[in-house]
Amino acid sequence: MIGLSSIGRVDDVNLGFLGSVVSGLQKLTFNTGQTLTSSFYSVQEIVRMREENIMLTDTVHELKEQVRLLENIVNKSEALKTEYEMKKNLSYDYTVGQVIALDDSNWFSRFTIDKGTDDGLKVNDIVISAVETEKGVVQIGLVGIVAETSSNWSKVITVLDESCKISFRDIDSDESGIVQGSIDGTVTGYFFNSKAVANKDEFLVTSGIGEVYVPDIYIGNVTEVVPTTDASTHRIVVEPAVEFTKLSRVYILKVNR
Amino acid sequence: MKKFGLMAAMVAVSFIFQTSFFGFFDIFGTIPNVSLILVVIFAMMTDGITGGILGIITGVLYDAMLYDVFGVYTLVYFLIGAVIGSYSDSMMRENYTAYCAVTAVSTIAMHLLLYLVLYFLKYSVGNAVFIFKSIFVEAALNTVLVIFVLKLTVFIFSKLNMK
Repeated sequence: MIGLSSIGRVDDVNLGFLGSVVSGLQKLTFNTGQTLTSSFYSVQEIVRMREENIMLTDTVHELKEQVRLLENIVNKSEALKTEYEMKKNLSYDYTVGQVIALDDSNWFSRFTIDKGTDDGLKVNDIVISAVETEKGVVQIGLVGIVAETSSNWSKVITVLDESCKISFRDIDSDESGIVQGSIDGTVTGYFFNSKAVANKDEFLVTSGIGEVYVPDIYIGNVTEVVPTTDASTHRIVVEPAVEFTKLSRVYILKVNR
Repeated sequence: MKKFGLMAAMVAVSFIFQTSFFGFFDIFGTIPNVSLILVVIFAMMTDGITGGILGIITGVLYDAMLYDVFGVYTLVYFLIGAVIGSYSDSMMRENYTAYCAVTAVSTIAMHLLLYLVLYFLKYSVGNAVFIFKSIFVEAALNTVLVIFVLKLTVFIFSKLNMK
């Protein structure tokens, strides 16, 4: 059974109606736990949050200035302006899901959400973290991919999971490669071009190669570049854009394949 | 049969709380495994067959609700429940220290079994050395928590007049 399901020869085992009941109870329990911890931490961290608020306000001002400078450059070219308008907000049909169960083992990084085939979800739909603003939905980063679906719940494999491999593109150098999660919770990868080198803090987005992940979803930024033992290639360590420990709401992009 | 039904219900409830509630309350970055604790307790209270069946129920819930490869946790929990249940007669069930020792060993055994199964499924388990610390922390937490869970289980059974 293990072998057959690992190679995809066995259809989804999701307990049918019982699975729906369990997922409903999981959603209720998850909401309760989240409410309790949110109340507890908000009381506990009032002082820290005030300082963080001041720091974040300064950062927002800096970023606004950067955006003004970049928009000034982009708007001078009609082609760039058009592309910028297209990419500003999510252009895919999406559904908002809530995390209802988390894998707490060290071996996997998976979770369950409260949306399924009844909401139009399919296997291999992309899961991202995003925020809804007045101007639309703005992506924060890639969370993972839908692995299995049931009627009203689905299983998601995150980018931290060892079985999750993502084709990326470095925004700065335009070089492509593959990143993969790991049992120890890190995301590492390499470039297809063995001579390509990344610098720290460079941004990586999905490249769309392989047509599993849609292109231009932000994965994270490079934190470390480690030469491999034969020194001919470099292994990059990536910090994901998403804070997985605080994940409760996700956006599922319904991709037509 | 009534006792078995209660045990199965407790296993299901513990699964729901384990996956949806306890994740908010990690200790030293690790969450104790109450599902495993319950399988150990029930296996020690009963026999190999009951322990194995309860292990299967626990594992099926994990595999069906969280994982895409079906059978990994079913196998692991079944083996733990069946082996503990088979030797439960020769264990000192009245002594809480026995439960602590068995829980600690079971936690390590569970991760070892997972390592073996994932190795044969061609997962890259070479980085498993980085999670040794959290495995030992989990074993320590489970060892402490088993006493409280056992007391709660005995209390529930006595309230419902089950032995």
